[in-house]
Amino acid sequence: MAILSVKNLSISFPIDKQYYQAVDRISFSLSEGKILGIVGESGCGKSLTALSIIKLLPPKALLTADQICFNGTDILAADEHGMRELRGNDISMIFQEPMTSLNPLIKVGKQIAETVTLHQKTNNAAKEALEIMKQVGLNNVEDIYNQYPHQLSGGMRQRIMIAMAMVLKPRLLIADEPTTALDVTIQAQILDLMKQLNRKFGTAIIFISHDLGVIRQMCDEVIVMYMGNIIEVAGTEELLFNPQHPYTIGLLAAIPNPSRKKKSLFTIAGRVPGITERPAGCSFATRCGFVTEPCLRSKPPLVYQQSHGVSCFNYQDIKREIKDV
Amino acid sequence: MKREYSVYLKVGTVIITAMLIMMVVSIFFTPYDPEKMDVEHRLQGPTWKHILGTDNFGRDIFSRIMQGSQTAFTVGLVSVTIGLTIGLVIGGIAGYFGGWADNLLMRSMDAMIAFPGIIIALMFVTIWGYGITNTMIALGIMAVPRFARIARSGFLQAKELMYVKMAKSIGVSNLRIMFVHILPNIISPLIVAASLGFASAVLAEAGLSYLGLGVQPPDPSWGTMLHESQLYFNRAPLFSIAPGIMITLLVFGFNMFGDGLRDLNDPRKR
Repeated sequence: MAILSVKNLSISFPIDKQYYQAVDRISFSLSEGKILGIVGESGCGKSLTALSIIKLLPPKALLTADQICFNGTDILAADEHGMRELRGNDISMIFQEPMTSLNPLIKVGKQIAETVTLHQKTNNAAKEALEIMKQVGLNNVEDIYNQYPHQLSGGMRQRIMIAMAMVLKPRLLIADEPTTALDVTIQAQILDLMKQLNRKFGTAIIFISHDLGVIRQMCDEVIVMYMGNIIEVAGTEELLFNPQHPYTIGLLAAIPNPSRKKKSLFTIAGRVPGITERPAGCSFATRCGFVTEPCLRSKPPLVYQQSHGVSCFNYQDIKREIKDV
Repeated sequence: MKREYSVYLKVGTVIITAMLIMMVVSIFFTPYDPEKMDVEHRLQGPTWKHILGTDNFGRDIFSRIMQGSQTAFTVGLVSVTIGLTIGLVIGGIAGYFGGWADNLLMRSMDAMIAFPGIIIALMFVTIWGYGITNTMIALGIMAVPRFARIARSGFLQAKELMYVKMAKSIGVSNLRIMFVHILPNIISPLIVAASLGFASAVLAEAGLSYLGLGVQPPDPSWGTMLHESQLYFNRAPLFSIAPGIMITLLVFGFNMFGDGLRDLNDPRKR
């Protein structure tokens, strides 16, 4: 059963009194207990998509959608008070920078316990905080409870943040590049931890990243976004080993590969157009090597073959062409 | 980590502490009843019995100086509290929520700053009547714009920080974010401003009382004493000089203290 379903979500920003779409009518859904990855380069709208689910978009942003439905709750219709009840309790979020995401003047244990006291009338907030701190793999939790963020390392702080988000066992966790700021060994530990929590508590995760390696390790399904559009969606293995969209193909080809030593690295030519200069047709048309006339005229719909969706008019021809080469 | 405390901070602390001790002592003990008149011994110079002499009603000046410190501290404390509280709320709303509320509130603060503070205070006192209570309220309101501006800039910066977003994402309400999560992080410039504001409140009270619009006799206040003494300056100079020095010292002390605190928070001066 889908725990989250989003239909035709658009987010636009006013620039000089005109609205520009940062996210353009995207639809996706997430099944209970699954991990959904969202990949894309900076500015493609992946963070905005995540923030719109808990309605924490910047106040200027204009959100429209046909449906954002979480576990039977209509997020679109929920007011600020209703959202506050959801946040931290049913939907949690963790952010990119563990170094700045904790309040420097509040003891970390208190910050975890706050999630509990905000949503439950209980005297056991401290106990629950200690319990989740153990669950996220911290040692000496009694000592750490009384420490301030500056006394902890980056990896420990990220664990504290995960503890804050997970203490009430939410149904959905949104992780916005949770490991980008961490070094690789800590990164592996944190990913491992999130996977564990996902299995143990059945928490569905939306995992935002631009690191395809991390995505492969974590996710059941992956959405590839480009300039506010979903251009491809598929199961992780399917997407990584049988990509259809020229952008995804380029993205995967751009991963440095040690066996191709001495060859120059592959790059996707061109640059991402700014938000005010988006093309009318396919958003990738300005950089695509296989662009044809219909691409410039209209936006290709997301066409599904079984569970593999791709938004490209020519993907079959492209596939053939690449094979021939 | 060892911190260097500046000379400013040390001097300020010493003066304020001495004044505080004097004020506390004066609550329980003064050499003479500060309001007891003794017309036979009026306008005396310093003697062993009256170390600062007596005033035009024969009251002991030293006792009145001691008693007057209570007024000075009360006025400073109450008006700073009023100014800080209102300023914090206004600056908090303006900085944290922004938009039209920010514009409306801060433009009204600008309008208040455009008038010299003493004129606003005079206006309030004229409308509501003289006396220590109204003086404190007037001085408090006068101080609001300064605190509001500092609070606004603090909230404005802090609301974009990640820990505020994190707090929002676990469902903390705006009010709680403002006062539990943000306020402790932006309090230090406000403390500095409070210290400096204390000094200007004491000075403004003395000014108003000197004009006869502040603290009313027989309540002892250094400003009132200055006012009463000006006719007798030739016969009893200490009657004027003593309260003048006390006002100067207290204002100087709080200014030093405030500057010292500011430097302590200034990373460039570490």
